[in-house]
Amino acid sequence: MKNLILIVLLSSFTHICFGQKMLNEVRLTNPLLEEISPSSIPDAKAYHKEKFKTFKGNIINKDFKLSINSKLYKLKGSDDLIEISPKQDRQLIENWDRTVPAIIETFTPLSSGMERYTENLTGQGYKATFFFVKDYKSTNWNHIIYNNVNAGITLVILYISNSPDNVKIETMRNIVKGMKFN
Amino acid sequence: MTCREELIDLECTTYCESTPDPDPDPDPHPVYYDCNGDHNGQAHMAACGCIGGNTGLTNCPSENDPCDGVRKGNELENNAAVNDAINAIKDNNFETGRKFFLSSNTAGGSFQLGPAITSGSNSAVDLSPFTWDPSRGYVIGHMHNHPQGNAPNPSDVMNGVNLAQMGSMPGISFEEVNLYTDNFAAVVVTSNYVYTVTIKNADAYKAFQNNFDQSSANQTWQNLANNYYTNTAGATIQEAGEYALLSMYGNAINLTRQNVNSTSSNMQLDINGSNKVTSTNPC
Repeated sequence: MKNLILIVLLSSFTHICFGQKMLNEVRLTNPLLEEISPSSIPDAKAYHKEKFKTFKGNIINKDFKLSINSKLYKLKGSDDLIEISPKQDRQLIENWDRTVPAIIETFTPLSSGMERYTENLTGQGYKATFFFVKDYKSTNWNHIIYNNVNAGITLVILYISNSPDNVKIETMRNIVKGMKFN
Repeated sequence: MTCREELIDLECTTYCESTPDPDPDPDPHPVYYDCNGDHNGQAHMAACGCIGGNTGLTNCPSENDPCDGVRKGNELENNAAVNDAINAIKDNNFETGRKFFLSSNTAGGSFQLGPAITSGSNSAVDLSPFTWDPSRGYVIGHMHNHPQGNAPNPSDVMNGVNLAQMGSMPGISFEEVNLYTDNFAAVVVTSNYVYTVTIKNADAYKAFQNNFDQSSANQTWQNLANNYYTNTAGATIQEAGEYALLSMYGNAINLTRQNVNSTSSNMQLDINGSNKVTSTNPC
């Protein structure tokens, strides 16, 4: 019982310290996104092979059901998938400018002949960085790291697409700009 | 027809006789001696020599020592030249590396630090070639910084002298391969941490290195790191990278970490039963 109380207190303390909410604590809306059930896509690899007839990049399998705190969306009017995960990482919150480059290096390691696209966005109460390996020379995964100070939430957004780079860039900008929290 | 040569009074004489074909009654249990000299023994050759069977060794000696990674990391980073080099590169904006050399291919050779190699890039530095010969040197490992602060990636672990090639070269002795695997270290420096990779299981390491494909290894690494980072509350991106590396190569390598300004404080990184990265000092 004592341990349970301690865990609850520590969890509350952590929450207060970071002030970063989970997705179930906010109402996230985005006009571009349509929420779907993770169980509707049991095999992400098969889904992409079916939907993207001439798929680009290497497709990595992912079990969306394992991401219990995340939400899965489809980009409206397409077969692109977006997984949004809340992140409570003190280092990221307190030292955004130094931590985001480490995330970029880890999520998009480069091999010979690869180039990375990175873009920073800031707006009313939010900042975000999105990045991917150009020309699908690696996987078809694209990433957005997003923080909204007003909403008190930090998100790791995985965007799985088959669109050309210039289309992806515009879409990722619009996803970031369309994030609203009530 | 089979022929055999016999040495008789220092003269070699060839005898030939017809070979019964096929053997009407093949011996189901042919005579076999293992590397320990035991009749039908179970010993086999590993990177460190003959192990298993009646040798009394189930693993190579260093593989049985849980302290091996931490001790080697501490010894290496207590070397004054290495420590100076760490401090010189920890805050560099470009990746800068050095190779570690042995002065000879025998156990008594002294440790030497190679010159600094700078890339002009913040995410790569080419430290090749990794040589093992008297003219270009006996490379025993390498170090470089990660300006972006990320944990070591698969290339950092697998770069080095190719063990399979080394083992198959006629001029390189078994003891030399053993010397290399016992002393290999890859050091990655960030502004916060010093990571050290050493070889835990030479056979497993050799197999990984022989089949290594940087592009596919990177994809596996990023996938594992992404899943860990997004699904583990409070996990840092460095921890996610460590998790990915240990998931891929944990049976082949020791991964240790210490704060960049400390000494003799390497901690062994492992994945526990709850699938989380832990750091302990097993020494």
